[in-house]
Amino acid sequence: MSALWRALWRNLVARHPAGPAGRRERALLHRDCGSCNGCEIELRLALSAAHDATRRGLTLVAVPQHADFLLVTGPVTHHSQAGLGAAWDAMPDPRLVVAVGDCAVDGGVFRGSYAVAGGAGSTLPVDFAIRGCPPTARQILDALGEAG
Amino acid sequence: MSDPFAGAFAMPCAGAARYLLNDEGWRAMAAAPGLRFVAMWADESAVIALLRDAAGAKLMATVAVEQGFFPGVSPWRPEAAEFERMIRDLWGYNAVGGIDGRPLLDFGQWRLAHPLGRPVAPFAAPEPATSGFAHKGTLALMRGKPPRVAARFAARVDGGATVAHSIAFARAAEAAGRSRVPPRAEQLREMMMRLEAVGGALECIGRVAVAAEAALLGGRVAVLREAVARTAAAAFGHRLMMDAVVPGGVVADLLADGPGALLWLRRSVAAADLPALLEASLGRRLRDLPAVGARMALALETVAAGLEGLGMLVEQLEDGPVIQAAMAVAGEGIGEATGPSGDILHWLRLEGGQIAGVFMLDPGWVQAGAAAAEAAAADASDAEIVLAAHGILASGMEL
Ligand code: SF4
Repeated sequence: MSALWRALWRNLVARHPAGPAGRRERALLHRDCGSCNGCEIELRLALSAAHDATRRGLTLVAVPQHADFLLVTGPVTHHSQAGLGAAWDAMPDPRLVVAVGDCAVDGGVFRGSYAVAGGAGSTLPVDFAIRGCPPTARQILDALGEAG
Repeated sequence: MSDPFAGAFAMPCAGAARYLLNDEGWRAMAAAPGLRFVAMWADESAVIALLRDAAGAKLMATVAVEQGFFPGVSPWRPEAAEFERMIRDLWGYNAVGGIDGRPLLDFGQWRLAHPLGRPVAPFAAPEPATSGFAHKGTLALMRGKPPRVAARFAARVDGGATVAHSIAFARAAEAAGRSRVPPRAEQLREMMMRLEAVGGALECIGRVAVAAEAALLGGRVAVLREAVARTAAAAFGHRLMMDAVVPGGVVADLLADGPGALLWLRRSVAAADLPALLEASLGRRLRDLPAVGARMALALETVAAGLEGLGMLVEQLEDGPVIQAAMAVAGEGIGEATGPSGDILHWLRLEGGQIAGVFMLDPGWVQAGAAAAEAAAADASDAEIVLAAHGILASGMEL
């Protein structure tokens, strides 16, 4: 676990005081930058009742202004770079970028295509990379610091 | 009108006749009332249209591209316009008389123009992107690779239909390479396709539940969708069964835990009593939205029939190999499969053991029109539910 992660964690805990059940709320913004939908299937499962998402305090939000984490899926296509950058710029500090899946980590099988810029790192500073094509719901939750 | 295909030269394509037409024959094809237009794509210096005749049989028409131009089909068939736009963006071939000259995928941000056409100098004319964000250059990445390697891209057109796309691709490669798949491999493919369909049907219900804010239903369906993923991993080694199907057969046999997992899944789904849950959560709402109601009924049927079929298939599995790798190095063929949201068709041309031309037709092309029409007819408050029931994916169409 990196120092950055711990620092952010403390900050998040301070910002979202633990409730009676000791639950910390974390707001996730998801941006699909050209995914095949495989990562979305796992991400949706990770954030559903199948994995007790509400008890883990993870919620998806629709606008960057409310988000703590930016979850990026898909190889970042040239067409999606501007939108991804705009979402990040609108997020308040502290904020983290999580690359979900091989495509978002480094372009995956689409690396080198004329239409693809690469992973999320082509556009944003990535804090966490979750490998897998797609990573399982469990791996996503583990990486988000909750499971296991 | 005379038969546009009369006397035309038939090219060898396994799975559907492909006729070489001159411009006049092509226009006659475009205007022929007895033919239904399905799709259109391009190959080296040629455009290919896929049609169905009055009896539903598949036909392919080909016309040569001269100096970058071919006769447009959209003046007669407006549904061809989007394909003409795609062909212009990807191959650089212009439809003469085409009714819509706007770009579809290329908004000036790729590293090269017309990536599938002959090499052209890159141009710089950045415009704000409005669509095309999911275009990944998949077809270009597949060209020049042997089918077994290119299969990884077919498996990543749509993660929710990865099995069906992989099967359609494998069948096209097998048709082109005139190779036969062992019976056990066919049976295992069928099993995977059914399991994928069950997962897709659950996702369809789940999307509608979320759009309609039916939290209890959404939660229960998610638990079952997770059970499908676990079953797929136990039976076939991957939660979405990605890369499990390859040209020639399947990569691995049914795993030892498979039959038990399938039985467990069947019991879990039966215990959840989805039909009753759906009726209790959304019954009244769905009576006002008959099209969505019909889709939900179909999804329930897919789940029930799929699980029953899987039970039977396990028992009927024949002994034998699961892959037959030998394949001719040149040829052309099409392959089909049924995905969770509709029919999938792949076309490919092999040369020297490598892919020389390929196109993958996703059901999104057909579905997008239907979904837009249904959503436009619904109340604004219901449009989201209507779209959720369709679940159209940009990646499938934009490739
Ligand atoms: S990592 Fe794999 S599953 Fe995820 S978007 Fe890329 S190809 Fe699809």
